[in-house]
Amino acid sequence: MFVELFKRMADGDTVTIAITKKDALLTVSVLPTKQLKNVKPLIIKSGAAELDAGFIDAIDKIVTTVSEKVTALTIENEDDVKQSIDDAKNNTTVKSKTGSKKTATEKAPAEPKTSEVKLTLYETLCKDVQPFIDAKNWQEAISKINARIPSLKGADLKSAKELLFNTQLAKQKSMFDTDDEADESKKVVIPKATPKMQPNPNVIADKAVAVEMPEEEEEEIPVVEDEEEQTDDF
Amino acid sequence: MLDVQQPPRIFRIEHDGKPLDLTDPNPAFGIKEVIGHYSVMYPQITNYSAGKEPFFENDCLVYEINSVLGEHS
Repeated sequence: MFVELFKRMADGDTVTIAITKKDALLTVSVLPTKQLKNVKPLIIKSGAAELDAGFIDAIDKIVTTVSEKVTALTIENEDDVKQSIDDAKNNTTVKSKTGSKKTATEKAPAEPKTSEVKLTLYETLCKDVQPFIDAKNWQEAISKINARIPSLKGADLKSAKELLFNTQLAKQKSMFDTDDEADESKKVVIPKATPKMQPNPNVIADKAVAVEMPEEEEEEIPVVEDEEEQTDDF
Repeated sequence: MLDVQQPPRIFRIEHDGKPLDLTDPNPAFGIKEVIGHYSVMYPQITNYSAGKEPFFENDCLVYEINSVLGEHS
């Protein structure tokens, strides 16, 4: 009986059976679940032998249906949990707008780990030596490369030797070229005009401008009082 | 001849804050036997007192079982 019950029960559920004997009959009440609310117990009233033979068959449908509903309930809970997770994510994204620095710092640690894993020994050497090369501190760069070469192998060693050669070559070139000339050789230089004294063709004009114009004498306009007098004159 | 029939009994308890009507497990059971039978599943009905009278509802005899601990109906 219990093997059959085991097959039909939902995981984590409790089946409660109450048996009362009265007048040569057994009254068996079966509460098939504790997880579903307001489920009424199943009542079977029969003799003991009949119950042994047919008890499982009698409660089979009910217990199976209940266990299916109980498991269905957990699936619904999973949806609720997923929704709550989505809500929590939305809340964190809203907070990230106000405090974007926090999210950036949270994400930032993940990236360098992946990049460090991908870098080869030669790449890390280049990364360490590049600042000295940019600053044209050739000697320091060469000493760094020489210190790393013994630990390199294969393609990394070959690349490091090429880097050493190029650095040494750059150092040799820098010994012959000054900083100013090196800069000028790269830049396009516009020739500077030499300042020479030239006669000013505009001297006369300047003088003319400087000369003050004589003031024009204002002609006195005769005041005509009568019109008739004017006609006589003309 | 008159046919005397015992009306079906319903036992009303409070379960999860809501009334729950339980079927009569056996008409031959007395009230205490019914309470004892169902108390395995609903321990809150253990304190039932026989003082409260049943009433008829929809041609059924309803027994209200007070499930509050410490109180006697």
